[in-house]
Amino acid sequence: MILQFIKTNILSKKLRNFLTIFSILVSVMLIIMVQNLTAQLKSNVVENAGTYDILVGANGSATQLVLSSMFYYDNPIGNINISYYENLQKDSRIVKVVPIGMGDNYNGYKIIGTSTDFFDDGYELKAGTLFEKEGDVVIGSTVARATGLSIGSTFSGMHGLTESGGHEHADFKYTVVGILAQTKTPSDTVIYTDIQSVWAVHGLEHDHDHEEGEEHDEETLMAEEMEHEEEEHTTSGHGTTSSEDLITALLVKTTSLANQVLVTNELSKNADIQAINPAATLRRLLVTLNAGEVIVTLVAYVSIFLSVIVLFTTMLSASIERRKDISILRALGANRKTVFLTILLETLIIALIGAILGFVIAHLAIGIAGNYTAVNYGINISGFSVQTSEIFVLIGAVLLSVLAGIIPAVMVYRTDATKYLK
Amino acid sequence: MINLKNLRMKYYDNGTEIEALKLKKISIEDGKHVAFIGSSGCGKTTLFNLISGMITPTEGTVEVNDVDLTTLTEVERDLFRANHIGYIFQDFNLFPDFTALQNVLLPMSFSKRYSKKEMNELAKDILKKVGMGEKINQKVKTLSGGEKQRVAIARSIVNKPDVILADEPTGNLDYKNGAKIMELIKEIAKEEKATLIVITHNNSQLDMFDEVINIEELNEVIK
Ligand SMILES: Nc1ncnc2c1ncn2[C@@H]1O[C@H](COP(=O)(O)OP(=O)(O)OP(=O)(O)O)[C@@H](O)[C@H]1O
Ligand SMILES: [Mg+2]
Repeated sequence: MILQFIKTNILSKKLRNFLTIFSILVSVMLIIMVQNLTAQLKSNVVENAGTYDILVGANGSATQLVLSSMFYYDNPIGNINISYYENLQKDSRIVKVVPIGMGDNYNGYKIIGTSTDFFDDGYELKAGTLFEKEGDVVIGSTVARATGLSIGSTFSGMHGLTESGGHEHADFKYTVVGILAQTKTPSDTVIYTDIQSVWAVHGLEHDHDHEEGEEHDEETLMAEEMEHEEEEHTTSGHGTTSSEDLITALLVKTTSLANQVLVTNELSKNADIQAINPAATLRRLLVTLNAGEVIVTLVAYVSIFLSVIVLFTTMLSASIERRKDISILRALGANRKTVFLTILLETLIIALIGAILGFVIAHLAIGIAGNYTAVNYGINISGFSVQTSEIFVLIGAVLLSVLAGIIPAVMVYRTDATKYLK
Repeated sequence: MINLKNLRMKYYDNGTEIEALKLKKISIEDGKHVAFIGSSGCGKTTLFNLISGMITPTEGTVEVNDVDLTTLTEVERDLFRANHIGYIFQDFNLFPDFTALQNVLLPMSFSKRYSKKEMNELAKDILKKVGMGEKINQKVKTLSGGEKQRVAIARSIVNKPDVILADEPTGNLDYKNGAKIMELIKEIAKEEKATLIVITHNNSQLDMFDEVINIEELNEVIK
């Protein structure tokens, strides 16, 4: 009956209670989204950085180097000479070295040149084999799903790294020989081929450009020319001699921490390249991310504080309005404790509805965002992953709300019932 | 039996003391129908609140059913009220968003007397008795004044009270409706074998009562 009483009370002030619930919902949702997303992003990113301890690339932003060569995000900085690759392959302090070369794209999915060693750690084939001949490709699971490419399919790349810009290389056909199992990493969203294939297309590209350049309309020509200028600039700038041996980055795994330090130091002596620890760079990046997280979290906490005040005033005015109702209950034989708990329970129910809805909506939103990031960036974010901190947020929000309900409840507790009855 | 002896009631309002009531003795025998009369402010409602245990006197004893309410704790008085006192008000004091049935069920949960099933059946029976059998599921705010007071009467007796206190129960009703409601209250009180005390300003109703007590005359504060 008391529950019925509370239910009727809540429903009889629909708009006001809706607004209160809404304000709690928004704050809880904000906090949970921030905490959950950053936690998932971090674990994702750190997992991805795990395998390799040195990343070698052209001079420039270390962050950009990591993002472009390990997450296939952002543009590559430039290229490095193949001799670094050859030397490292002979180095006994090294477990393996994997080249990364940026090739064309197919429907916006980047074609990454590498070697089969790349797939030793954490990759499984869902179908087919790894690449063997020039033109063979292995595609990520998202690519397979989105493009419908299957084993034996052939396609031509578009010049450049993105869908827009560039033209088709109709004369070089890629053949799908393998499909990777889902990794829930950016690898799902790219196409891998032997770096030789990338070089081969590049060679063709140069011939093709010089032969047919005049036939392009002006705009394409301009775009291409700019691209080639850039290419030539990086080529000369980083001492690469031929257009056939472009490597964007080298992923290196050393035998020991000591060797990691030694190799890094030796590589760093070369003025044209940088050798970095990808995990360290990512950690620095996450610190920047943390600053953003702190700000949003702060906003969220301010907002939860405000909602508690809203809840407090709601319950306060509700109790003032309800002094008569409470007095009636007392005349009917309810004791003070009962009416006190009635008000407190009502506050608790409103707070719980707000907090639970906030939690559910936050996770729905994360799930939807996760779908988007998985398809577009290969970053796997799940709506079903619950961080322990979220439980504390929920408990905290509910406790704060109960606190907000205590003063109105005490007021009700102390009401002189005889004053409001006629 | 209701026995009020050597009563003094002082209210404290913002530090100032207001003496509202001072009287030697009122005795009411079980099952009697009694009217309290007297001008406004003479202490009639205060007496009701004392008899129901909503308040305790500054001095004196309040005996209801051989229990001296002044010796009980507040929680005990609340439970006593739930089980032994039925209140009827001038303003009905029902919950307008509740149905007639829900209003009647409410006090049953405070008396701790009935099982859930018993509650529903009894509440429906009583609503039938007061002539509201057809409208048990109607929200109280949609009922007329007379109908509201019928629901309030039903509510006052669900816990089988020994004493029914009606504070100007017809004050908000027209003459015809008022007379009907007064008849109903008396009839119900008789059926329930409850002591009935009615505060009224309506002199035409006084001959319905076994006894008429003029509080204004008994209250020594009013001179
Ligand atoms: N809670 C209270 N605090 C202070 N004074 C009160 C309180 N309740 C009643 N009084 C005072 O006690 C006196 C008696 O009041 P009471 O309500 O008992 O009168 P009444 O006979 O019921 O009058 P009416 O016929 O107008 O209802 C009045 O002077 C009133 O102002
Ligand atoms: Mg009165």
